[in-house]
Amino acid sequence: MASPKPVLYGAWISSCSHRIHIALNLKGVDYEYKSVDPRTDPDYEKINPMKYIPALVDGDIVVSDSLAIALYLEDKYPQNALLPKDLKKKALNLQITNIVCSSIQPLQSYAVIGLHEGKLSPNESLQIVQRYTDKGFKAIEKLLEGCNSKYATGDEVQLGDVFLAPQIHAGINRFQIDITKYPILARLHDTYMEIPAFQAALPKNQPDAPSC
Amino acid sequence: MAEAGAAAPAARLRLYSYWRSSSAHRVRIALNLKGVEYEYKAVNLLKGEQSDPEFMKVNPMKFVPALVDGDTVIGDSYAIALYLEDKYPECPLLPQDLKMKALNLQIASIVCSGIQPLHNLTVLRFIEQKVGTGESLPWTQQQIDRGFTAAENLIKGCAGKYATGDEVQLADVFLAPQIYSAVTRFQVNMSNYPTLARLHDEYMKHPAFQAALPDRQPDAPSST
Repeated sequence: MASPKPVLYGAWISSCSHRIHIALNLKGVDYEYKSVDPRTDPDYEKINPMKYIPALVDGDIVVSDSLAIALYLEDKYPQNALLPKDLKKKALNLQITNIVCSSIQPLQSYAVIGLHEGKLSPNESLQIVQRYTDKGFKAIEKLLEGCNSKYATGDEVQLGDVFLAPQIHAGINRFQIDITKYPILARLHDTYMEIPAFQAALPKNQPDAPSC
Repeated sequence: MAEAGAAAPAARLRLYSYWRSSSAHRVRIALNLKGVEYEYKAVNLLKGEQSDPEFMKVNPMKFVPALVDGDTVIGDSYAIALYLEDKYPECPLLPQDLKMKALNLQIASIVCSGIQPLHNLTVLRFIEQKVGTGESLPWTQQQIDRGFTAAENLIKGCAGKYATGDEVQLADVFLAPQIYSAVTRFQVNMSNYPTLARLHDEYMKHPAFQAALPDRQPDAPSST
């Protein structure tokens, strides 16, 4: 009997969920997607005590946090490896990944939630997102200086790309980031937008995206 | 911690650190656990040394820790920890079992993405400025409470002597500095998190963790 498909809990607009859609698509893993609002769904806390999305349920394993999920997928589904064997390149991928998921997105999230809860004005919220996005993007652009490979750290898509793509996409589409300030990131964005695995992962292509 | 006077081994590992940085504290623990000798290079965050052009070449994010190992330069404690795990496999910090490995990675992420970035120095300064003086403490306590509540729930069923079993693992490396700063700097009441409180006591007895404590670092202010 075939084992059940892994289930990804997420939301269309979540850049953290977006990362995992990309990773699953790149690895050709057939999965089920369930949209959830952690703020209003009382059962979700049992799946993820942090009440963040995404979470992945794969058989009897429940993993939350997009980085933990991505590294789990890397072990469980080794096809189309996302981390190079070379330790220096691997570390660079993990550093880029962590700039996104520790230094940019949590502050973006704080600013967005602050706006929703009326603690921040739209302008203040936007300024916070832009401040931390620009800081992170400037650093990543520096780390990738001289990069002439197709993707961030080589000619194969790697973990850094998986985490960068949603952050750049959100920056451009939601937070008025001027990506032309970061020519390498701008070029990578254009490249990502042509890859089917990335296209299928886009927020607007998720079943719970609003149609308009 | 002192530099070797005689001919030092070629290209010794260098760690850029600040005594009080809980992110750097994580890496100090990992290095100690793996028995890796390193040169300690202090970056005084209060004096703004993270903005020195030389340091920015090492880590353009202007954060500690940063690690230089030969021609490999890595910023970010998570990236450094996983690099050390590959390069120095003694005292492995990640189990083979995928479920337990994922749990460790998740707890490490709760600390380094879910708690600490929301109360690091730059954010606290911003909160003080924006919301008001004295607001940074309640803010920090809120962030810690959310993360500790989640971590407590995650490890309740599987903690042994340490967070995820009877061996020190990655979760411990990341939890220990966060709990330490919660207790010593942010007046967090640990009775709400009994497992984490017990772990704190265990960490305080472990030599590798003791040697990594902020007060033991070369750039810690000498006690008065």
